[in-house]
Amino acid sequence: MNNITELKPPVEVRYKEELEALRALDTGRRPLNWKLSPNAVRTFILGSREPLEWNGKKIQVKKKYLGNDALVERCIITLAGSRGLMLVGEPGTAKTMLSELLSAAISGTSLNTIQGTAGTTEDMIKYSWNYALLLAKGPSREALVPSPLYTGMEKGILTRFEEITRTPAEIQDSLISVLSDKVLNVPELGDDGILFAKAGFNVIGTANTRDKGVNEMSSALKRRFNFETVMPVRDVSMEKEIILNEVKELSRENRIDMEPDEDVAEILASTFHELREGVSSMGHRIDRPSAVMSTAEAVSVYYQTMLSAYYYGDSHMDMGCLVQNLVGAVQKENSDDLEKLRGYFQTVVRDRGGKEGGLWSSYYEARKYLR
Amino acid sequence: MEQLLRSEEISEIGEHYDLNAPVLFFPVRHHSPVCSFHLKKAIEDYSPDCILIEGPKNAEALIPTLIHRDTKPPLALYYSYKDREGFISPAKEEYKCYYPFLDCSPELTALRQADQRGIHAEFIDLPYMEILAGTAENRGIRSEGEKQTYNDDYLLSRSRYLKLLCEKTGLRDFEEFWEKYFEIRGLSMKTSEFVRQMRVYCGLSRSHTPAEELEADGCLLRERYMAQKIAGASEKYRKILAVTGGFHTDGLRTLLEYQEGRGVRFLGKPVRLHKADEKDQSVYPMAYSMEAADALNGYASGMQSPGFYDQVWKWLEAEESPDRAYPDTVLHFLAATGRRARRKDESISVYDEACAFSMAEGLASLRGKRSPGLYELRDSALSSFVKGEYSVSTDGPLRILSQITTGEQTGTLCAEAARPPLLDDFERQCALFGLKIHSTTEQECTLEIFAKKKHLQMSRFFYQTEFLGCGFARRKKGSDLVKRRDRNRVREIWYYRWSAQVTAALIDASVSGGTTEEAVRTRFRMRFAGCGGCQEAAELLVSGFLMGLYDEQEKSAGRFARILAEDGDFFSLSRGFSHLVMLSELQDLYQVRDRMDLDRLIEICFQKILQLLPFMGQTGEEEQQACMECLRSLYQITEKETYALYRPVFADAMERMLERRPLNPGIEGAALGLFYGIDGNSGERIKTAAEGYMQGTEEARRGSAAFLRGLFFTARDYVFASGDFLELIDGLLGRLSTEEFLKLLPELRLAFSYFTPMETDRIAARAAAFHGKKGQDILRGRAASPEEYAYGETLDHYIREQMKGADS
Repeated sequence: MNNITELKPPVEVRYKEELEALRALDTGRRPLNWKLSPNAVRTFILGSREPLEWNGKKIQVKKKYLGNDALVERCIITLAGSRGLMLVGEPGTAKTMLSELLSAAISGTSLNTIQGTAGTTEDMIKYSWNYALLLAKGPSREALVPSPLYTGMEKGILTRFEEITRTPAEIQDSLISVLSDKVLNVPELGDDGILFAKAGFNVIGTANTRDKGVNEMSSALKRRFNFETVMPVRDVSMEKEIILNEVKELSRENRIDMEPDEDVAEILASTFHELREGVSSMGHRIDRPSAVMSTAEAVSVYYQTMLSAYYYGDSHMDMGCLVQNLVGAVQKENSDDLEKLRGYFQTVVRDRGGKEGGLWSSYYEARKYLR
Repeated sequence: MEQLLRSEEISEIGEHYDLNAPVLFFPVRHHSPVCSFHLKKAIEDYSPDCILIEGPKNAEALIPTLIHRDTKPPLALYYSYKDREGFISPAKEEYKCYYPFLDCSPELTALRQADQRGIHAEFIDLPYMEILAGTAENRGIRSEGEKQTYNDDYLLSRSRYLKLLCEKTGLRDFEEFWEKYFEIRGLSMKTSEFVRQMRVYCGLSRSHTPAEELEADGCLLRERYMAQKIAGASEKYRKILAVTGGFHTDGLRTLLEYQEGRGVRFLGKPVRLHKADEKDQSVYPMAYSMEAADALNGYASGMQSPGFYDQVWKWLEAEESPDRAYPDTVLHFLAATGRRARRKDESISVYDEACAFSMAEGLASLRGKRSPGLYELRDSALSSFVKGEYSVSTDGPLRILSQITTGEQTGTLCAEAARPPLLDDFERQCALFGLKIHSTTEQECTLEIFAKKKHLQMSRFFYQTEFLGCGFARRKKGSDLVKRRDRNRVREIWYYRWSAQVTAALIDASVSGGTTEEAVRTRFRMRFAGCGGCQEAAELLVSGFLMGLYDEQEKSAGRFARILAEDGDFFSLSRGFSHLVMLSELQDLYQVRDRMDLDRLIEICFQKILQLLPFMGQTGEEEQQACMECLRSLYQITEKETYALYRPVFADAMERMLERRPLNPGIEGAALGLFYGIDGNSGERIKTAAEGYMQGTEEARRGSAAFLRGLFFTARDYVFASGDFLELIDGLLGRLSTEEFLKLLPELRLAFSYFTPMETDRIAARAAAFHGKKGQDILRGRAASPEEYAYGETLDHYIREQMKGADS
């Protein structure tokens, strides 16, 4: 195509080699139309212990989802069954990433996606028309513009429905009949207008539970899904690992030639973890900000600071810049949140600076940017 | 890891399932259905003439009870030992532990099979007391903070290599590992292969546990004893099946040597037993509950969710082929959860159950398990039954599942079971009062003790069980006569709950008597005989009254008079006096005949108080509050018509107390307050004393806060009745330097805490008026800025640091 690098290549492109190796070496039973067996899907997401030998190369399948292995297994089995999969949880808990990984591994694409918004309409979910062709030729398959759901049913692949609860409840409900009967009727096409879903079709929805402006799901729709609640990472060292992995990946994609600083990642992981949990590792009780202190937000704070250091600084993480970006992440909805962050610095960061010195001290000194 | 599983090591450990050997070792894990399943087959294949089971020797006489037709698990053997000789530790403590049996326990299977086939069976482990003596402090059966159980399966799950094993196999913990490789996979193995794999696992587990740990846990000593018993039995029996915890099998093997045609010979050093008194040891069978046997409830040696595995065992017992045992059990629990959830209006359909089952099977196949097990059951219920985000409002079905997989049954013992008569009496009384003791759920019971005779009897029964310390009942509401609180309540609300611990406590108490009342009486007398003071003895009398032991009072009268004569403690006498007065009133209220001449005792007690009272003015600061309380309570009693004659002598004694110097200002304040109650015209006296303190020298001024505290404790109404007393206090505060004020502040705060919020408001308004302000003006001050706050914190920190320096 051209030489301009894509900002965020889809999962199936990023991990092309891993997927190909897994497919070539996969001996497990595959549900109809699945590209990989459930076992290979599991390995793709949770990583392989030993490197795979394929095409004369040793390919180490990386662990891409850190946290709850059993949850991933349940997701895979749900998708092989007759119910949809709904990933719910706080923002920034890697629901979307998990749904992309599952789609890429099972159907070979993570792009068959409906983005739910308050303005999503039923035709965006089912099908719409190319009006020029419609006028010229009348209702025909050629004039029909398939939605990702239609495509999923037609090809027997997964359809991702992002942020389903942002869509009005009555629009969400248009999924009910499709999910139960696995049939989509296009009355305009007469006898040819009945689309039976091919094996391999299913829906992965994601919904977040904390944001403002989300709609409740009807019980009828809930019954058609298995729900998996994705919890925030509870372990500081794992959160640090996620920050480092993500930042490395981002800097590699954007050709930022700078190694992430593990100590800074640890400080950031501690800050996010403690503000989320309301208690510090030293036992201080902390007022929790109302902003979502997700791991994804921590990654973004770290990456922004890294970009500043790379372009404006000497490729060293500057704590002042980190604190400024942290303010941006925390002060979003409520002005009290900045006060809470200040309180956190005045107690926890101060005491840790006093006890551990080093980076924690510079972190504390950077509190002047808390405004 | 690979090193651990070296083939020669495995073959060395696992070669013995020889059906012709004089001793066949069968390794088990307690409560494991698969072990029971193969044990039955091994008994059939090997046809032993003797079965030896790991179990404390001193419970052998109870085997007939355990295998009786009418005995229904869950059961436990309850062992207790009173270390009067100090064999265990110089602290000479009491010890107890449980040895639970479920239907699926291999030990019970072995006993039942032996009974059915007419095979001799016996326990071969050390008596409980000897195990204790052979275990280091805070190790094994003597671990602190755990519910003490005899089983020692924890040995299998804590070795270092297990962690590696779980990591390598991608399993969450030991329980999942055990279920996958033994419980589920074991069902499709031949018995010989199962025994071999058990031996490999247990052997490796053991070989990676340091010898010092084995010694400290008492394992080595027990194994020596068990091996000795096996060798002893081999002189008499031709084919011996030794059923022991898997962890011990290798230990036993190394202590025994096969002798051609002559059984086995013991190679170790024989164990010498202590000469413990039989009376100090007891063992009883008791009904147990699944809940208590669940590893998740602190029973570290058990398997988690015993209800689940019990169901698996039922299936194995009922069906020919074991292939469907796990899938059918999972389906059974999914359907049962759905059914119960629907009863609680949770919207779980049969289709949900079908989806959950297919999820469980799918997960099992993904995880490489032959059948879905407990983990797949939980995962599938979480996925298919929880609608919406997982939270306390949506996890109802999972709570139901957890409850039913734990199991809700409680066991029953056959009528012939050796039981202390106290336990029978307890159950008889519970049946008489309609109390539910076949469930471990807490029950509530409201008693109208003055309206219904039966309720009064129930109340007494509850108090008796409380006195025996069996943790059966607790009073939630109702008058508390011992603490003299809520005496106006006419109803009592009790919560009661049967648990295995109640039975255990009753067994412990059975040495005191055959019925609840008898045991209570014995303990009451013992405690009364040991009473050291009037307060303690009077409190005990009140407890006796609540338990309906009226005739005990008569027997206690002489002893009580002696206690009274010997007691020279003002506080004990005053409190005891209050209890005696209350007892006397209660006798009138309950129309109980006075059997111990209470009036005479009250009189003696009061005379002793009068003798001591004049000296109480010198009470130190630490006992000031207690003294004030005693004075107030004496005042309140002398206010009653019955004791009106005591009033003048009491006032006289207080007067003498006030005359003596030095005088505690708090007590002076309290006494003057009481005088104000006796004679409303004595306000001037208070004012004079207060002025004396407030206008005195620096040292005296410091006593003014304590004086006010005493005064407000007994007569806070004086502040409102006297026009200018508040002005006097205001003047005092004005004269104080900041330093002095800060010193007085804690005491002043206490003094003003006796006022109700409304009274505090009135005082504040008047105080504000003295300075030309309104009450509202003093409610809000200027907010401190963050900088000031930070400065304050720094200062605080600095001071703390400085003070630390001063301390050292």
